[in-house]
Amino acid sequence: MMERTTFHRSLPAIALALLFAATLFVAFVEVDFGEPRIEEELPVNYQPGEEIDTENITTPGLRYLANSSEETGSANLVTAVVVNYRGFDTLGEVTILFLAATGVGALLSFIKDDDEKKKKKILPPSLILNKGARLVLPLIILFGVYVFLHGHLSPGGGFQGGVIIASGMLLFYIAEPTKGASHKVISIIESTAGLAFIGLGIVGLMTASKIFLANDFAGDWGEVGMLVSAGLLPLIYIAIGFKVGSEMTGLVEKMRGDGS
Amino acid sequence: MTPDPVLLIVIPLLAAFLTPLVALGSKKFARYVPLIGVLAMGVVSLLLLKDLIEVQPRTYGAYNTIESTTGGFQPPFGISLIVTPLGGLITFGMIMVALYVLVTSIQKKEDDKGPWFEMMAMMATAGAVGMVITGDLFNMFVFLEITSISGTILAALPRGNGEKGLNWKGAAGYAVISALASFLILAAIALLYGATSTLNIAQMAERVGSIDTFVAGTALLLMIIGFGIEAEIFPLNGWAPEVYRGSRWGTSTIFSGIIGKAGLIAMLKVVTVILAPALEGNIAMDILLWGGVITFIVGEAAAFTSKDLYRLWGFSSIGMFGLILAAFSLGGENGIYAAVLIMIGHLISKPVLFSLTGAMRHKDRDLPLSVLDGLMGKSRVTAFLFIGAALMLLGMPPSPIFWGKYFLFSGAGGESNWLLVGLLIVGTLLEAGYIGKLLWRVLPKKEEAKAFKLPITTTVMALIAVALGVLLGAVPGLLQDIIDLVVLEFGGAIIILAGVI
Amino acid sequence: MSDLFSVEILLGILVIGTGLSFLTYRMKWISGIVAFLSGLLGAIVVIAMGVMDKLPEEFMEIEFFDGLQISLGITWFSYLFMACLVVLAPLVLLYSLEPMREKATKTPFYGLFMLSLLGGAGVTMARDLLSMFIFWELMTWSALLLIGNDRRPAGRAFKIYLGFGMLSAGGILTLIALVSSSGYGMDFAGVTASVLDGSDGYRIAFLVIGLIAFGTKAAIIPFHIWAPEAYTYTPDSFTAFFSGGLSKTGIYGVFLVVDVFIGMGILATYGSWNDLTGIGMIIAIFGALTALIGGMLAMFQDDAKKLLAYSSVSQIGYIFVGIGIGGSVGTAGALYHVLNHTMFKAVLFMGIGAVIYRTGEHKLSRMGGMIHVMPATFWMFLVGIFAAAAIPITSGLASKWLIYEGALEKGVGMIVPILFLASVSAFLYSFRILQGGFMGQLRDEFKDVKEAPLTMMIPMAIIMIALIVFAFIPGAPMELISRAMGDIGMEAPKYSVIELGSGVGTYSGLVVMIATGIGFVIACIMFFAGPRGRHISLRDTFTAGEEPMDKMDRKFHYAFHFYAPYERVLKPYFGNYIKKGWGKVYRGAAQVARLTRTIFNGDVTGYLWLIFVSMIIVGVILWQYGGWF
Repeated sequence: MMERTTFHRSLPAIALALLFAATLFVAFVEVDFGEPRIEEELPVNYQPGEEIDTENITTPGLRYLANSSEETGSANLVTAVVVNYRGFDTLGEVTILFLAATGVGALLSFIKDDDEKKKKKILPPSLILNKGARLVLPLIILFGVYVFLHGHLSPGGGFQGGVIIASGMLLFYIAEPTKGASHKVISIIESTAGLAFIGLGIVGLMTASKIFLANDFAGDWGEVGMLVSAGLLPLIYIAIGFKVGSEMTGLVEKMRGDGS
Repeated sequence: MTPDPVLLIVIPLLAAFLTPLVALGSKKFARYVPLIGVLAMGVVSLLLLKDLIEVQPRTYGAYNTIESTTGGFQPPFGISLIVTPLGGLITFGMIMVALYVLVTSIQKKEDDKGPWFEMMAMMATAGAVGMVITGDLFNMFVFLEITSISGTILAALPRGNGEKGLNWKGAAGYAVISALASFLILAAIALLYGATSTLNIAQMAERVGSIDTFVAGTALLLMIIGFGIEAEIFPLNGWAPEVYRGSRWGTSTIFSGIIGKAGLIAMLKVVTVILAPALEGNIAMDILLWGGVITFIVGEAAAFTSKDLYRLWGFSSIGMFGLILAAFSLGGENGIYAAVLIMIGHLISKPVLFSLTGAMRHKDRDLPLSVLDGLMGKSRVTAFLFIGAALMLLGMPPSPIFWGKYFLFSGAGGESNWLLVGLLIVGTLLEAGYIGKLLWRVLPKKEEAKAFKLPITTTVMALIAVALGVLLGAVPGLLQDIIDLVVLEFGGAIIILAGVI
Repeated sequence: MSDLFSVEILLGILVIGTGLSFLTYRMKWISGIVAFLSGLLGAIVVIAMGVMDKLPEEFMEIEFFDGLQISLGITWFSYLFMACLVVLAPLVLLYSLEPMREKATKTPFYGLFMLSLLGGAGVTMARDLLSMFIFWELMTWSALLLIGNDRRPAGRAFKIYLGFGMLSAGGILTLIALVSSSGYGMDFAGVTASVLDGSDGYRIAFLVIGLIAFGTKAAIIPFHIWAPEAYTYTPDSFTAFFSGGLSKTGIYGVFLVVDVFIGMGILATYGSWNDLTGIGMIIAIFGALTALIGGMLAMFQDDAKKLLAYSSVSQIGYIFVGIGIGGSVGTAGALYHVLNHTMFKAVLFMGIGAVIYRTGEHKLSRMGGMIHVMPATFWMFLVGIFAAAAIPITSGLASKWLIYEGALEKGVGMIVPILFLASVSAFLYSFRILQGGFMGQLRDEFKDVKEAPLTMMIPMAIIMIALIVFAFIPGAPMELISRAMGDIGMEAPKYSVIELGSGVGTYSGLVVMIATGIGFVIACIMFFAGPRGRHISLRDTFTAGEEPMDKMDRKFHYAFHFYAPYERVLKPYFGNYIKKGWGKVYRGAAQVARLTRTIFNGDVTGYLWLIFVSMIIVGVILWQYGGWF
């Protein structure tokens, strides 16, 4: 039995939400984001990007700012942080995505869908959409590949590139309701890409520093700013790109519910 | 040979990515991949635990930790994992619970159309282990997410007991509320990072003095509520009975043995190491102490009035979480001994009880208590395992929980905290009440319920578990080494013992 | 040879016996025989230990953690109580072999029996609170699992015993917490020291909690509710041990609390009443009331076992009076009554158990006339009744005499009338069960009932002989009692082999027996020498010689609602108020517990509200106490 919530019934909830928001607001305002906590760490009049001696820096953020290109070989600071300094978290995030996609698929297999009804209701796409999609799709995919390939050089990376690819595939699905990618292929790409990510991490265990996800080749292969540089980072981003792309595509596919 | 703790994460992830590949070939064989993964995790965890106990620390009175870094940079610039005595012990315990569930699932009756249950079970374990051994606050959050998602899927999977559909209510409830919890925790992390400019837990503990009290208080509030939700603390645990009520027994075991425990340990870690020193008095530990006690009483009371066996065990688990939290918060040697012993006893007995319950099939979603009637007359092995595990949970000697309760009462008395002693007695009375009710039903009766034949895997695992519990209860000295190390670990973190309110 | 008398050996015998009984529980005879043999072995060791004066000198220590160990030992005081358990056990086990032959295969009866023996013996051997608690739990839970026949009220009995058992266990845990707060160790010496050093509040708390914890097990009002329930609904063979043996552990605990841990010396500082300590007076009054109420309620029972159960409650009341009175005579009386009660309660339960076994009836109104078909059982039962009612020719008189003497000695004569009334009720209910069970008209269907089997009669005979022999030589048990009292620092009243002396008078067993014997002889002479009557069958008596037209199998003897007139008068005073009170407590608690159902009602929005409200609460706490802002 649904009843429309009248305004005065939701007053307590609104009040509570406001109180909560206010508290958070005050707390966040109190925090001086970005200010150095320890005075001695930076020289006076420090400018970001300046070369400084990082022996005494204990705050991670400052060190990333100062040293990322030498240490990781990546011109893109965000990539350096995401894939190298905090690559372990990224592996976790990738896993989260994987779990969500797989989980949704697993649960959906328990729900019988009446696709006969659905299929009857699908409107055929317009001509413009159909032909336009065929023209645009390869460009989108190319762009996506470009983004994740150049993650260490320009803004973007594996996640972004993968999503671009997936949105391209979504366009394709809208344009061609009856066609789709093979679930088997998607699954294989997904898993292999994941295994590749971990494999690259294990490479780190076997190189000089014996640390998971270490990027010991950072300085060895090319210079900062070139396509071939930053050691394993672009390779990792490639794996991520494939993974995210296939995963999101698979997700859209399952939502579409063609039953396979 | 000390293994690298990062293996505890790498192995399950490898197995997880492999599983769908194998499933493309053979769905049946794919179900064994997570089992192998958990076995490997178990071996690693056992070796780590062995090292923690045996290797003498460099300085007297210190405890060993085993560290691992990732990304190639030393902490705090890279993310590190630290296996402390408590972490090592809990990790081993959680992996054993997962092993129990996965081995017993070999002969499961539910048709999941794929290895999804096993995979999610392993990933929930991996996430939980990560939460416990990580040294980085945001990394903890990531693992929390892994655990939550796996948990949601696990909760949704159908029970296969005449109930064909997914467990919408339980899973959706958990999804929504754990999303809220994640938000709260993330907000707290943001505040803490902004205030200390680091995410490394150890470094944050150093810098905690510089945090403004209002910020610290807000972060503490958010953390307590957020992790309290995951740890099934009252009154934040409304989602839990729904999950226990509708999920299959394996899911309930994982929630009560793995997911909840991880939330509990994470909360303790964060609160004691970072936040408690930031506020005046001992207020954080007091809140946890009384929150724990209230959870204990409410949980046991709810179990006492339960008419459905799944819910009963679920509420019983909630009660135990409260008790363990209270014991940790009480602190001191007695409190830590109590907490660890009760935790171990719970980790051993609950899976047995849940698996036996799961073997009792019934046409309704709820499992009425009458399925137990006269069990001893019909299915003797089931009955004895049931009685053994139930009495172990209650704390009849020999049981690790017996010792745990003894230490808890000694500790509470030692603090002259009479309100605590009284409340503990009330909770224990309630607990005895429902365990007694169940035992009464199991005794031979005129009208008997139908016999239940246990699958062999269940019988074997349950026997091993009960035997282990009895052994640890009779010779608790076996655990002394590791518990002493945990006491040392907490000695540094809990500065003042919780006082009377 | 002295190594044979060690705690380890005794404990080992009991543990192995328990284990084997559990393992063999599916094999009908074997389980019982295993239990009996191990019980017998244990009893032999214990008796030899006492008779040869070779109590183990060393304590047995078991270390559970580094720095946490328990110790078990046998001193004369604990020996007295342990002997009650360990010597009684093989008798009851032998007794149970036949009736339990069929039923024992469904539940591990002998395993649980032995476990309760192990627990009870362990309680008496404990030298610190922790070991006491461990064995206490074993004892309580094994007895619990034995409750449950096919009789319907057994479920309620189970719950009531569970509740009070947990109350008792909770009490001991609270004592542990209490001692922990004092900083002293858990061993008995440490506990005593903690009381010595403790504040007034500590001592009072210790006393009250200790009395509640152990008094519950001993079934003192108002904690006695479980006894009639539990004793009635356990297998009849176990009840003899349950009531005769295990209840003594409660008394043991009360003795420890009052005489060992706290001691009369400290109690005396809290006021006095005539020659008695104030607290002792309170304990004695509770005891007297228990004796009275138990006796009254026993009178009104129709169920034979329940009657005996209430009688047990009543007898324990006497023991409490003795403890409360204290001093040399009162304590000796209490300890003597412990020994006596063990013996006569056991034989009473065994006797009525034999009748129940042979006839299948539990209610006295449906029994009757058993004297014709089970004469031997009748005589042994009669001796037990005499002992319970403190009639001469049994040793039951000596202990009651000591208690009365002690009351008079201390000048608390006002207790004596209450005890007297209790004794009157004891006579009444004794007569009830005697008459209802054995005398009167024999039902036709019971005409072919056989006498009790040999395995049941031997234990009863042994106890009967003991009761009579000790009537002659009350000094023999006194020897044990005096050693026990010496152990806790008290002196026993003067005694010789045949005489007991109190401050007020002397009791000579020999003289009493001779006097009784002479009186009996005189009565016999009068009976045989006087004019003989004609033997008339009971039926003729009842029907006044008339022949009824229909079936003759009508019950004419007075059996139903036996003490109806007394009941009418006394029920308003002795109605089940205490039981109803506890019922209210339970229902109230259950109501509160049900509140949780309204909280966990499945509404997710509700849960979210709870979360946000908790945030506010925690926030307020942080603000007020944590210096949040």
